[in-house]
Amino acid sequence: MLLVRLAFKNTMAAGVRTWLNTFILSLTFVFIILINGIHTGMYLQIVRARIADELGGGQYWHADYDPFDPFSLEESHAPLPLSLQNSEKTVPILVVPATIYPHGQMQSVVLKGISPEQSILQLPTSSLKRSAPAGTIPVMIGMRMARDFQLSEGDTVAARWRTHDGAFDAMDFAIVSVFKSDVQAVDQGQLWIPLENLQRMVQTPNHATFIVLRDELQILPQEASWQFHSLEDLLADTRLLVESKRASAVWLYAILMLLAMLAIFDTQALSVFRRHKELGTLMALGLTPSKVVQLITLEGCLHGILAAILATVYGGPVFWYLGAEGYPIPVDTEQFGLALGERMVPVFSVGLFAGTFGTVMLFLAVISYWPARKIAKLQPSDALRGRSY
Amino acid sequence: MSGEPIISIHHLNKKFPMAGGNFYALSQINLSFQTAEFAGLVGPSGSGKTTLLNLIGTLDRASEGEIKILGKELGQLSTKEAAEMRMKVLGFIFQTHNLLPIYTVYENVELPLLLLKWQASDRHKAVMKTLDWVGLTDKVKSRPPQLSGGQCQRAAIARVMVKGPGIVLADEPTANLDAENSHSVLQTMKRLNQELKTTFLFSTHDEKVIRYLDRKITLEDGKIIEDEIQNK
Repeated sequence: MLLVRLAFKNTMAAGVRTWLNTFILSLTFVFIILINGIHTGMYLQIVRARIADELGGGQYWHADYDPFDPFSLEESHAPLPLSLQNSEKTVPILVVPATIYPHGQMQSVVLKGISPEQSILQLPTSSLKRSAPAGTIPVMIGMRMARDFQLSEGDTVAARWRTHDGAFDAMDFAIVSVFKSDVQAVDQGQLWIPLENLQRMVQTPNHATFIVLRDELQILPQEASWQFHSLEDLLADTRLLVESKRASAVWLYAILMLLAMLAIFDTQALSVFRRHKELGTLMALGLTPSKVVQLITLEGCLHGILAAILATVYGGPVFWYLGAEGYPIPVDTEQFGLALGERMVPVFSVGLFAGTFGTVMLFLAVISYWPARKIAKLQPSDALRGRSY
Repeated sequence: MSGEPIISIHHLNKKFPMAGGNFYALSQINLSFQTAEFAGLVGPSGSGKTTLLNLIGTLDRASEGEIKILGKELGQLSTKEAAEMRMKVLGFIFQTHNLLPIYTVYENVELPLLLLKWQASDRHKAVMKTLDWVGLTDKVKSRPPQLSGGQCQRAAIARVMVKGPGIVLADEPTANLDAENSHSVLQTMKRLNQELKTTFLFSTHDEKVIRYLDRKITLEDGKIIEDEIQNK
């Protein structure tokens, strides 16, 4: 307790030097917590949006289905297996490549057949039950699709596709609703259509390309032509993306930490050099050299505690506000392909605060101990004479 | 002199390695001090006074020979035990008072008691009593830079005396003081010596200090050349 008292007094007595170091260190705290909080928030936000609108609780894919290979789509569907025919727990989706002709232009798109009754994905599929003009099929599209192709609710657009036996067929689609989703993978270049209509159009009754599950199944049915993809598999790309962003930010943390640590190392080294006589006096009063080393190390660590308090004072309200309200994301960010929506809400966990504090304190302890460690070998008489080690 | 000596020194050598051999700062020192002595090591600069004081004070280690304080051989003490000896038995008064400048007079004097883990109420009583003794009760909240040289040295004496050490080692305690302050400080120390039976051992070449000593040990080139009783 005495050492803490002495360390606190000495640290406070250093005045402006202490507060400058503390301020720089507090910036490091705030920056690391803020950036990490943004990355965690980004990941959770994307995951939530993708689970809600795209992935559900996992998916079964037809063995030949490759979402990145449009040429495989015509072949990658099969009749729904009996074990996965459960309207409560599964949503079959049929994917068919097609061409539409908005405003006289030809555009390649994907038709996705989905049951209007489904409740697993949060897409407003019930709008597909709305009546469409005679001779048209009701479809819904996302806002990005509507914006890119200059389509809106009530418009009709001609579409052409190939049936299962390879013949071309065409019909007008009536856009019955334009939905908003943060997930581009369910929006751009896609038209959502009632499943039964699509199955009839391509003459593949009861076929699906992939099946979305409500929750991850306890017992996975084994179907030869269907492969299960867990949420972990389906979110791997998102996780990698966020991890790569996190990794790139490590350089910034390192630079900030280095600056703060350099300032504190410099202060500690200077302090040990200038305070030989004082440290010698403390030894003469009965402190062991190792206790003096502890005192110097503690003084360095106190910078971390003061910095944490300072960071809480000015960073706390910022974290609280951002954690509750988030901040608006520039419209251009949408082009990055992240399902972030219009506001980013960082997530600041206790673990993040504790982890950042612990890491910084560990570095501080090392950086403070380093210049002080040789005092342990110094005779008190040498310290009193101000002799260097 | 009679009884078990509080300090006994036998065949003490202190050497420092130098190019081409060793330099003996102290050579074959044999001395003993009784409780409540008011003794001084005198001699010119470089005669080994401070080195001997440092060795007795466990601030340095002897090269050869032995020093015993209260029967304990200092060479056998671990770093921790030596620190404990300094904390409980020994007190140091330095040429420059060595008060911690950021602490008040009260806090400086309280420091040894904090190290000894005294209770707060006992600390307060002891600090105030000691400050009263050295005449600094009106400077309790002052910091060393706000005090005169004499007041600082008296505060340093208070810091030593507050814990009631058996032995006080004073290295040129009046070197930075004018005549008036020197006498004031020396009278304070003499009074403490007589009232508390504390053993005082000085290192000095100041005539003013020498006049107060009961025993004068003269060193030259690391050897004792004279050990005489005076003022008796």
